[in-house]
Amino acid sequence: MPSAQVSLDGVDAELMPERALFLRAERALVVADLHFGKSESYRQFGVPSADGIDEETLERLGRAAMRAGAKVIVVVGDLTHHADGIGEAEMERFARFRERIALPIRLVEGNHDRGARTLPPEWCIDRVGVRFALGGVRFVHEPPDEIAGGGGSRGNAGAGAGPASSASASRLAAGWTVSGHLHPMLSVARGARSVEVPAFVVDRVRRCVVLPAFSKFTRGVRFEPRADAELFAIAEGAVVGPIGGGAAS
Amino acid sequence: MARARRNAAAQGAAKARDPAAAHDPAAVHDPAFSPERWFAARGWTPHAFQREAWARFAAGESGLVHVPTGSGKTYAAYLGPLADIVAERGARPSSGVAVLYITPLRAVARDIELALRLPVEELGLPVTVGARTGDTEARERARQRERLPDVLVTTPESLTLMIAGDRAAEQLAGVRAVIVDEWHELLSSKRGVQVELALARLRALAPAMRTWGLSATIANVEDAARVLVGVGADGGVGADDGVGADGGVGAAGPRASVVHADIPRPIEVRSLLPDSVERFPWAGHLGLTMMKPLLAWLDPAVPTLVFTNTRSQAERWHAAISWERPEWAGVLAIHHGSLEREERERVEAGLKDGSLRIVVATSSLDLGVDFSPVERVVQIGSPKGIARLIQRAGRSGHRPGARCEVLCVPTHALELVEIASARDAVARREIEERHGWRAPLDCLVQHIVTRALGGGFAADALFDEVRTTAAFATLARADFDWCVELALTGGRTLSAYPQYHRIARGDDGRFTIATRRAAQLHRLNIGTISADASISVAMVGGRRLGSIEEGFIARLAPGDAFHFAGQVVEFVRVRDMTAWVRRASRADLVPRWNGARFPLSTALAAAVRRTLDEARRGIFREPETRLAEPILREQMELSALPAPDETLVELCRTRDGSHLFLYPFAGRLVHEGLAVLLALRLARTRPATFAVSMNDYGIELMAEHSGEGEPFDFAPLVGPALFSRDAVVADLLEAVNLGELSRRQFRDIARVAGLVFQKYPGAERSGRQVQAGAGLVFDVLREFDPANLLLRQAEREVLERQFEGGRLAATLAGLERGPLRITHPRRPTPLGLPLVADRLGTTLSTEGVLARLQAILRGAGAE
Repeated sequence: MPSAQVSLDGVDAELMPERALFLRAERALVVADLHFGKSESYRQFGVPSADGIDEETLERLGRAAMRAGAKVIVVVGDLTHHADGIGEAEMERFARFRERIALPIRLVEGNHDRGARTLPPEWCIDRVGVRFALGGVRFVHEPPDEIAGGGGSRGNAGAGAGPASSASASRLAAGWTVSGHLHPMLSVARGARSVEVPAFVVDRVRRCVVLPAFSKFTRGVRFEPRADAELFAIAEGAVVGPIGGGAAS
Repeated sequence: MARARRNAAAQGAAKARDPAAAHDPAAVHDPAFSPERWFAARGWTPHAFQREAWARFAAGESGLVHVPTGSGKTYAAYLGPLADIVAERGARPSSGVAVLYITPLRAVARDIELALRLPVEELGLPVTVGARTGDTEARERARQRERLPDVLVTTPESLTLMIAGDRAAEQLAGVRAVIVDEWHELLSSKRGVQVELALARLRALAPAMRTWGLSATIANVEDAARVLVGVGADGGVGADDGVGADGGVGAAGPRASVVHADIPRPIEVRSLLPDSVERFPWAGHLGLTMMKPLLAWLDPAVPTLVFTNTRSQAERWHAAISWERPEWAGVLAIHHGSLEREERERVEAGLKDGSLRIVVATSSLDLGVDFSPVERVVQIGSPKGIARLIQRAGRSGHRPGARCEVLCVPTHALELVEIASARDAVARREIEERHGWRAPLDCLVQHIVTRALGGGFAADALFDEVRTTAAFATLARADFDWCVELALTGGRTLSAYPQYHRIARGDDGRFTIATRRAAQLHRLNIGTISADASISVAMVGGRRLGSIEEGFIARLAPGDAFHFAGQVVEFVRVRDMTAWVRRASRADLVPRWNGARFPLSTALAAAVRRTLDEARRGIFREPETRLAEPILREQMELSALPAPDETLVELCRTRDGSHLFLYPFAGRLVHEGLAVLLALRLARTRPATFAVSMNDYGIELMAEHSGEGEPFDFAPLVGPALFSRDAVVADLLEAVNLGELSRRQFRDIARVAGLVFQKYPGAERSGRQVQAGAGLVFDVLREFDPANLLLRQAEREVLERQFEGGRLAATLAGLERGPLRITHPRRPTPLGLPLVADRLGTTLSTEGVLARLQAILRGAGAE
């Protein structure tokens, strides 16, 4: 599986086609926006959906962790979609996943997680608050506002002014931050050809990586190629990039 | 009908003035009502078709009255049943309704009620007449709960609600006659299927019931009549699968009579011609270049209806006329389906009483209310169909036998040819056919829940009953059981969720509604008309204007001004599911609605081909073709005009890429299907991405150069194999699934089947949420329950309806048979240019996402 290698000012990272980032030194698998239980939430709302979506999410997470040889999983927000969406079936499904994948899971709180105050203890989730750091890299769910603003067109994911925006100034000075929340999609078209695929955003000016949504049951913010950030697209099991960027080099 | 309604309006006065009617001893004292005598007393002479309809009803027959509008069809269908219930009064139970009059137009229910009441009140007949629609007041409803009137005017939706009532059997068992108005219009919609299922239910409750339909002009009137009266338990509808199955209805089952009206209505088709064709646009459909000549022709002294083909076009023309003629402010109005109902009713009333003189309208005024004062009709752009042109022309001089005239305004050069051809087809009375639906399972699922609600059902009996409809005549038991299962458990993917358990099986095997909430949700969502994903528009602090698609509003910034409901308004904000606007002075924007653009009908297409063939032979007979002559000659010089038996193919290369133009003249829907089919087959020879473009005349496929390898060469691939009908269904499905078509179709299906709801108790859900919901349902079902029958129905509807299945198959057969006339023009021709200009961004790609991404990145890098 062709991943892409990037260096975040000396920190080696692998962008994996499973929609995960792997920090080699810490052997940490970093993912964001799993939105576990989203289909159940839809059903609660009267919109039918099917099982299998959550199953696929967990299966892919387990596969990525094993393939990379991770010793810890960091979820940068939105592990769950809504408290309504965690029914018995979801409890059971996640518990089975934990029997298979017993790695520690650190959860950086995202906007959706705030709705689910207490997670079942048998999931063994270590909630680390809204900020976390590991090996010189920080993790915050919401990236600075300017990332979505400059060149990316907003889809229906709301970026909003979260706790991250106040922190963005200090982040500029410090090391790298990894975020999620935006569910970035690369959107390019030329003539009759057009493509919209999940993508990593690597912003070397703001020293920030935005991860694609790990869940496939999401829509996201569209990014067109731009000068101030590199985009890495996921297409047919490969990570293609960098696309655009160049302003910082 | 016209005459009846006018008289109905003046009925009080007529009674006082006409002593003959009030004092004719025969009319008052004879217990049996006689249509002949009542007509004579009013000084009317029945038409032959009215007499025939009365006689056929009296003889126990069912069938269809086939008449042009405005010709007394209501009394043709109604007086037979009225005589029957007056004569049989003593013999039937006193509770419940005896004659049902079903109209698809809620707005005309009141007019019809007055017309039906006229003979009853004039003669003091012991019969009650009432209406029940979505507009019926609570007090009247309460009275009807006690006792329904003998004669009831209602809509398909209200009828279905009655069937869903727990006293349905008691209330409806005494029905002796059902009259279905505007059957030609209902027939080809899912509302028609809803009526078919309701009629089947009524026939089971009241076996002696007779059914009569009223229909304007259609070509396959015998088919339409048979669909209406049902086919009996083992009736035969053409049942081959897949494309081409728009089969007629078999002859088995009850006999359906057809009563034809013999009232000639001469129609004159004229056109407003531009001075020269040189500066006339090649493409587009707004046609405002003809504004000045039309303004010179319009005259507020002569009441005129100006028909357009789309709502946007109506807004655009209304805005342009009111800008040029501010002094017409009080007498000019606009009417279309997205305006608030109060506003539409105000315009209809203004037309009726003559206070409005010029009204710009869409097909929203094709049917219904009689606008007697209207003297002239204008058609902006090609009418695209002959029946539609005749229907619209008939809105003027609304008197039986009166001559009617329609002025066509071409919007681009090739429409000159269409208008000349339409005149020819009208003269030859070449009119389109209309076909009913075949086995739409979403309607069946809804009906199953309706029946569970209306007293419950046993599966075997309901299966037999629905098979008496033409739509479900060949329904397989397995499919029926699947639908019951879906209502019972939600089917395979949803069985774990109690909200999808809508019906329940009792110990005796009968099915009834599962919960009160299921009953409530179902009642709110009965029907097959789905709202667009639209948002309501209202003036700040003021009245509601109508609705606009959310996509249009989403692109507006506060302060943007646009034309809507005949006004210039400025967008303020969206709140509470409403777009708030205020008055503004000047705007350039006009909302777009994703409503269907009518495709060129088969009948008109055939006429267009005749006209082009004449041009090929140097004959330019009509004023429009004489004007278009330079363009048609240029077409012949650059390429060719096709002879009647051949299909023109143009291959050409430009700096954009390689182009294939193909002209089957089969209408844009068929061309859409054909284009994706051909693109798929061509791309199998080598992965490629095509820009696809289609209009009513033909298609264009453009292969862009990928930056690698040779340019795409169409020439060796154009041949019988490309047009083969082998595996056409499988290929089309593959192509359709590459695109988004079946996904879009699924939205309506999911709603009708009750998988997503349009209305919740107490809250109306936004259409967009349902759209997102249905899109998700579609993806989920396709991945996890691919055998789901509603998915298969979505695919089938795309093939049959979207692509006019039978017509597509016939088009392919013609292409396969040939001959093809292949030319290599040095540049796009007059026929091809509109395709190049109208390219809508539809694409089809068999390149993988990675290959596409790499081609795009290579292209960007080369700049």
